[in-house]
Amino acid sequence: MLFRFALSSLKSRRKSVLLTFLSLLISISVLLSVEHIRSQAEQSFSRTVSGVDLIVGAPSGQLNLLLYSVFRMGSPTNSISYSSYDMLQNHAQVAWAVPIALGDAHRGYRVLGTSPDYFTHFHYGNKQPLVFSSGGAFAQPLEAVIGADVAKKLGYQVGDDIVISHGVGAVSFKNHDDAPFTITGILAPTGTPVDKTVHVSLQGIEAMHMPAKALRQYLSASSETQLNLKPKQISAVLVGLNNKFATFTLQRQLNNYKGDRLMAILPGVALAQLWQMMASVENILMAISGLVMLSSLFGLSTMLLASMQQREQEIAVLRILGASSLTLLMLIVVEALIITLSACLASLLLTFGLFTLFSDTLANHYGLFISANVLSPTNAVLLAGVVVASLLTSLIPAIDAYRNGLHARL
Amino acid sequence: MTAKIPPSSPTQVICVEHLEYAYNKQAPSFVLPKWQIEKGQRIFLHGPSGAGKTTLLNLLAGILVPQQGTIHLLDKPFSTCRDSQRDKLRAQHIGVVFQQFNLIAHLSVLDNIRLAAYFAKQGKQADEHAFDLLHKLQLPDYIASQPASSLSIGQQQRVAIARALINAPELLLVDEPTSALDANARDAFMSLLLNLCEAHNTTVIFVSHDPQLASYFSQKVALQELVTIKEPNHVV
Repeated sequence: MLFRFALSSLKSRRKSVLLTFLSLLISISVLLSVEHIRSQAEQSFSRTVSGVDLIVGAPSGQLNLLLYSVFRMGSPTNSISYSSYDMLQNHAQVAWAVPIALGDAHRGYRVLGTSPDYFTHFHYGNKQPLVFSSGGAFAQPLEAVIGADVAKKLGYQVGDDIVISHGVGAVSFKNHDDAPFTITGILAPTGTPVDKTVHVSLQGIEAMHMPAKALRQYLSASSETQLNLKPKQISAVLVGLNNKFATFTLQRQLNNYKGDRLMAILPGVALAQLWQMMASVENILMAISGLVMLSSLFGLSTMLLASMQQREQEIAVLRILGASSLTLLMLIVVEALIITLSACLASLLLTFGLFTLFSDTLANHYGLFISANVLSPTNAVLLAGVVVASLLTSLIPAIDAYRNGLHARL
Repeated sequence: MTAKIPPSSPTQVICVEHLEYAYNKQAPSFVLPKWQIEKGQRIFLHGPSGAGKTTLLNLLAGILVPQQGTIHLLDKPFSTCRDSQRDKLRAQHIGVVFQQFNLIAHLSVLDNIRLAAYFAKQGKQADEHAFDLLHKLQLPDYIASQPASSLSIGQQQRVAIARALINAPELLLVDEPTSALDANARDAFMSLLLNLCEAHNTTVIFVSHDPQLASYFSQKVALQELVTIKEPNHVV
């Protein structure tokens, strides 16, 4: 009966109740989203690369190198010579070295020139290797392996031909039409930027940039000559070491290497630095959403408080019918709870819907892989906190009702 | 056991003794030395405004608590018991009809009546009883599901009677219920009210300043004869 009374009372004030509900809905959604993005981003960042001991590229900042080599964001400011890659491959401490060349795209998806070794050595998450969901690695220059999202979004299958464009934009004015690539393999989803990448061989990258005549000549040559084509420059090299203890020694060596201007970074350290940078932004966001939440709760309390004046008559009637002052207090708290709980539920649905809708955009533009499952343990705790806070703020009008109850007269 | 209980027989609905009440220290106090109401009495209480009619009703309903003296309701201490106890006694044994605004506007007629039953901890049988009362008050069935705000004032006052009587209270307090009604509606209202109270043998205290209504009652009490207003001792 108390619940029904509260519900009916709320319905009779539906305009102000609806506005309060909306303000709560928005602030709870912001709170949930910020926390969700934070935890998911941390997860998706740290799982992006695994098993790589050093990333070697041209000197810039370590974040810049990390971003373009692993997250496919931004572009290399400079290149390193192919001979440096040869040097790394022959280095005693190096177990494997995988070259990467960036700078082209296929319909907005970055193209990564590399060697077939990439598919065996590049790991993600908790040392998980890349797995082909169909087909296999490329063997010929004009063959490509695409990530799971590329295949899904563009509807490609093994055997399809694709044309790569110059530059990394979604729209390009220069297409390498003469050199179409055939898809030989599709990778299983990883939840990392690999899903958004078109992988081709270094030779393929080199070949498609050739003038038409040279390209025809190259393609008619024997496959051995084709595979011997070596680019002059590459963007970066991913390196795995025989002995992890040699990491810092090798890093210092490479940074002081005389043959080329090189910079070596530890992906773990760079990720941590990136994360630290994000953390301060994220703390600010969290604080702001907390404040927005608080102001919404005060709005709820204000709405209920304002209604107290209209309700003096109602309170007198309830008192006469035998309602105790405590019952009146409970009535207001129940009203606040109804609004807050329904706002919590609605914002769960809203954020779930939004993340389902925009997960692709987030992944494409920001490299953030966010799952739509918003109800994480942390968010459950946050929601519980919101409910408790609404209980507390609703005590302000509730105590008013209690006092009114004590002083109500016929 | 009998020694402790004030000298009131079980037939007494209300027994007031040495009651004194003031809204605050500077306000004049309301003094009622003794008043007993027997079961089944129907009393017309009249007096000029400012004589303390409303104060007396609030005291009898247990909304106000006297600073001195006692009120017993059905031989039970009413003014001296705990607040929660008093709320419960009020819910179960006292019905009240006001001048106007008796009903919760956003609830249906039936829910308004159910609310009274809920606070008196009545079970499901309340609904049946409610329809029975609505019939006796010549209100059609369909009105039960209407929102209270859609009713005319005359209908609202009749629903207020139904609500006041749903718990079969021993005491009905009525405060100028006809002030917003025209003469015809007033007569209909009065006869419905008194017939129902007679049928249930309900004790009624009817407060009004309208002498025309006095004819409905055999027992009339002038408030001035009952109550003295004492000025505060230290007038500044």
